[in-house]
Amino acid sequence: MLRLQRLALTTLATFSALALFAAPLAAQTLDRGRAIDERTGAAPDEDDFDDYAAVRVSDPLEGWNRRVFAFNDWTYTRVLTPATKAYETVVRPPVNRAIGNFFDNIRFPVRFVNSVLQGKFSRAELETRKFVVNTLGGLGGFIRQSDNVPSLAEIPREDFGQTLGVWGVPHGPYIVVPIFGGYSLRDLTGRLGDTVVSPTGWEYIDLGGHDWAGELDWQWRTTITVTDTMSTLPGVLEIYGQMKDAAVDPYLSVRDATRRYRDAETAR
Amino acid sequence: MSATHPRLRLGTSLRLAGLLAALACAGGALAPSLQASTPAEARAALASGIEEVTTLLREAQGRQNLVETLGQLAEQHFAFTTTTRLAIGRDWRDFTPEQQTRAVELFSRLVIRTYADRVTGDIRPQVSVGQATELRPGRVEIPTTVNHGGQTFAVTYRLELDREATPARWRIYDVIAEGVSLISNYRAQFEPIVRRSGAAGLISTLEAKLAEQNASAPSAASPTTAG
Repeated sequence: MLRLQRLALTTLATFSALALFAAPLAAQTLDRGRAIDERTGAAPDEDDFDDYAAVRVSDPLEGWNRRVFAFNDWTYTRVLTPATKAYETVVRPPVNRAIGNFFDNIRFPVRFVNSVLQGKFSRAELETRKFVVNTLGGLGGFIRQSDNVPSLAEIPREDFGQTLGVWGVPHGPYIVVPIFGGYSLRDLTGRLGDTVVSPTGWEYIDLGGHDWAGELDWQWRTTITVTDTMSTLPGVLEIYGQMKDAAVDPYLSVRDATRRYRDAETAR
Repeated sequence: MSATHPRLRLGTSLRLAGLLAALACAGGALAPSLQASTPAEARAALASGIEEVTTLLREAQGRQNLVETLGQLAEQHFAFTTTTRLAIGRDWRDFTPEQQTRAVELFSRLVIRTYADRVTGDIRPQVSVGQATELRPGRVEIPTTVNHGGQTFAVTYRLELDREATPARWRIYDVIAEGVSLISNYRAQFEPIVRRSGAAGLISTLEAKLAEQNASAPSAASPTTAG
C-alpha cells in the first residue's frame, strides 16, 4: 500500500518532467511516404514541393490524443508554470542547473548501455570518460567539467527509443500520455526501458527481489523525484509555450516537431 | 536552463534558430556580399550576415526598436513567398493570385512576429558556418553550429538565389533547427486546414492567429505590414 502511494506521488512528480519534455516532443509516424498528388503539369520550378514531403505520423487515436493534449495544455499553463515560478524563487536557476547536471550525470548508464546496444563502442567509451570526469572532477556531477574537454562536450545522447529505431523498429502510433506528452509507441517503450537502466528509476523496480532503495523513506524519494523534475521543467515549459505561440494548430506542430526531432536524434 | 536535457535542446534551438533567422536577415541587409551568386558566396554572405547582426544586437538600445528593425529587415531579406508556397504545398496552385498574396502577407507577419519577439539583446551565440551544398540550381543548404551557453545546436539554413533582384541576392527560405524545419512544421499544420476548408479557410485561420497574438501582446510590435 505504502509502495503504491509512493509510486503515485513520484509518478505524478516525474510526470511533470517527462511529460513536459515529451510534450513538445513526441511525434511519430509510420511511413514517410511522399505526399501523393495526382495532379500533373507542375511547372518545372515548382517540383520543389517534394523537397518537403510531409512526414505521415500514424495517429489513429487523434481524437483521444487531442483531448489529452488539451488537458496537458491546461495543466502546463495553469498548474505547472505557476508551480515552477514558485520553485524558482526558492531554488535559484544556477543551483537548479547544478541539480540538473547531477541527475543528468547519474543517468550515464542509459547512454552507455544504449551506445553499446547500437554498436557505437567509441561513443560508449567517451560516455564513460565523461562520467568519470564529471563525477570525480565535477563534485559528484554537479559541475559539468566535461564541457571543458572538446571531445566530451557534445556526445550525442543515446536512449532506448533510438536503439529500437536503429534496430529497425517502426515508430508505431502516436500516443499523447497525460502530463508526459506525446510519444510514438516505440519511444514510449524506450522510455520505460530507460527507467530500468537509470538509477533514478531503480526505486520502482524489483531487481531479483532486491529492494535497492528500500531503505529510503518515501519523503526522500519524493524529494528526489521532485528535484529531478524541477531541474528540467522550466525550460520545457518555456519551449512548449513558444511552440504554442507560433502555431496555428499546436497539436500538429508538436506532433511534427517531436517526430522530426527524434528522427534527427536517432540518425546521429 | 538545464543545459542537459535533450528535450530542452529542441526548444532552445528553435528559439535560437528564430533569432538567427532574424540575424541572418538583418545581416543580409548589412552585408553587400549577399549579392553574390555561387554557393560559396552564399555561405560567405550568411557568415558575415550572422556576424554583423550579432554585433548589431549587442549594441542595440531599446528592445522595441530592435524588434521593429529586425522585422523590417526580415521582410526584405527573407524569401517569404517561397517559404509560404512550400509551407502550403501543392494546394498552393489552387489559390487565386489574390489569395496567394494574402497568404504570404499573413504568414510572413506571423513568422516575423513570433521570432522577433524572442530576440533578446543579451544573447551572444557563437556560430560556425559549414560548407554550402547545392540542393538544386539556385538553392543551397548551409549547416551551422550554434554554441550558446555551452550547448551546441545544429541549425541549417536554406537559401535561394533571387535573380529578379538587382543585383541578384541570396535569401533565406527555410531554417531547420535540430531536424525540425520551419516549412515542414507549418505544412503539417496547413495541409489539413486547406483540405478541409480551402484557401479561404487557411487565410481566416491565419487572421485569427494574428488577432489572438495582438490580443495577448498588445505591446508587441506589428513591425511591418506587408504591402
